[in-house]
Amino acid sequence: MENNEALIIQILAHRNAAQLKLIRETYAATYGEDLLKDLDSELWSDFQRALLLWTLDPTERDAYLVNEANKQLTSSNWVIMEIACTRSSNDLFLVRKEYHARYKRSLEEDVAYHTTGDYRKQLLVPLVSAFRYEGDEVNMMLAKSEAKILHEKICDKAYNHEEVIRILTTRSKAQINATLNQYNSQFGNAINKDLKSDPKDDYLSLLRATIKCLTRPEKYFEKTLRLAINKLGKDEWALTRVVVTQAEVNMQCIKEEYHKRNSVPLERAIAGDTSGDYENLLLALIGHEDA
Amino acid sequence: MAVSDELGALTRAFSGLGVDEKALISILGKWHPEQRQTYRKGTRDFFIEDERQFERWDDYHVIQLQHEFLRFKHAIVLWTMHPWERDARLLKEALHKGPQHKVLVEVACTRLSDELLGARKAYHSLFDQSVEEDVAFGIRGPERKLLVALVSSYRYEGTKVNEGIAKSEAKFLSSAIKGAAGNKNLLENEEVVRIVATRSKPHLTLVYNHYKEITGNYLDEDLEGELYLQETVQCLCKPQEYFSKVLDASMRPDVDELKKEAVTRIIVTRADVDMKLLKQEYNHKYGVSLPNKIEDVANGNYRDFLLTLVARGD
Repeated sequence: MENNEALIIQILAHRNAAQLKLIRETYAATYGEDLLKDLDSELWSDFQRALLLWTLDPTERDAYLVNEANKQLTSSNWVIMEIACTRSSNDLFLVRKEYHARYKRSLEEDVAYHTTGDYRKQLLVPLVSAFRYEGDEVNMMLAKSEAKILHEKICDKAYNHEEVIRILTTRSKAQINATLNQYNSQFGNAINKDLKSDPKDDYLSLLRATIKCLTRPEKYFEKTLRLAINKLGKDEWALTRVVVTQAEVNMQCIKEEYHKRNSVPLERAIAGDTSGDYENLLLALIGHEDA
Repeated sequence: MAVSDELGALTRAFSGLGVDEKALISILGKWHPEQRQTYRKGTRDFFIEDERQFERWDDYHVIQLQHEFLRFKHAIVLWTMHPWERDARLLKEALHKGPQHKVLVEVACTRLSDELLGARKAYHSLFDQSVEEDVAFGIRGPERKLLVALVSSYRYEGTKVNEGIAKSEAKFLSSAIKGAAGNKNLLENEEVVRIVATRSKPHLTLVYNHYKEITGNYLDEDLEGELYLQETVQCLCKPQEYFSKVLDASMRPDVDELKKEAVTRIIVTRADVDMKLLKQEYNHKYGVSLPNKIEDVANGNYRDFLLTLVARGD
């Protein structure tokens, strides 16, 4: 079967995850092979990578991305953090389960093994192991006291202090939001402003991004897209990853945020930066809800 | 029965785990006021002479008795609970009742991965928080990282293992333990924590075996005195031995209430899992069968209930 790319885009980009699963199963039953195997056989272009990722169901996709990130070096930390912080507790757990099935190891053992250097392991392993409470209940007294603790540690420049890690990696998102609001009102600055002391420090960037992912994911994704489109980030597959993973999830929100921040619609920015089949696929995916 | 025999029987009915309901009914139930007074005057353990000339129940013993009467109820309730709720409540109690942080290790390391996940879900429902946030908040010492990692783990449950990595991790542990030289601070070694908190049980068993080959010693024995690490390795690699030890220690005379509760906890949580192996291990270690030991130390309905649970897997 020849890759008629336009047709593939049309079929795959306008299906939701459940339908994609059906397509893969039907393909396998008809041709006796995994659809993905066909795509695998050529060298991966951006287009093919995007197509491959889109065809996986969200859980498989996240497991694949984490496994890939483990094998790489620096910017890959962000992928692990991004997945750990922006998925729901249940979804993250499904990823961990899928990881067992696919890679015959636990996600946390791989992340722990492959991250070296204190700061990454200390933050990333608890982030991927968390099963945060998902309710809206908030304990205001705790929020106040933990805001104080965060402020204290930040003033001491103890950015990877146990308490900072504890608060960010175990508290529910609602609780963290409340804590950071308290931080702002008690100390006059948003926490990420106070964490900007050294713009070159990788760990601090990761920490700020973690906080953003936990509290304002659409802003995090907007920034990631902006840097990728303007070729400013170090994360070369960011554009593909964000569009594919957020297409069925949060894309409307991200598009609004992008437009607000950049005064140009996301579609135009992507069209300006990409071309050919890759461009068509991305545009189809971000317009997914309208299709 | 002669009166003196009855006094002895009554004391026995009140001693040990649970109470002998039948004996209490048949003896106490028929005693006249004078006989009961004789009992009170003769049992200095339970009754003290009040300054206003009457024999008063000793408060401490009333509380003890309350525990013993409730032991059967507690076992029934725990047994009937959904295992997720049961483990969630055990984790919560481990943090607040005592506390008994070793029970955190026990629950986190001896359950299957999906069972531990279930317990974490139940914890959300019961306590409106995640277990890891409670553990992290409630524990301040060097063991915090290990304990949070243990309750957060979702270990791979398949049989696939990597021999090379297991060998190198065994080597690493051996030099880490030598290097710690009894300073009891292995908990602060991140790599040690990483290995025990994230690797699968089959992998850790391989590490355990390689460790023996390399050093000639057993890993858990070399971890003697290392807070929580010894228990962690035992629970992960030799759970039946761990449970036998804890059971035996809990059934000794004159242990505190928290220790006594381990009997119910272990028998209820293992009855459907590995009771047969547990019995074998217990017998092997202590030379007496577990059912016989329970007959010795427990009374009444509580005893009968435990024996029924222990008979599973026969």
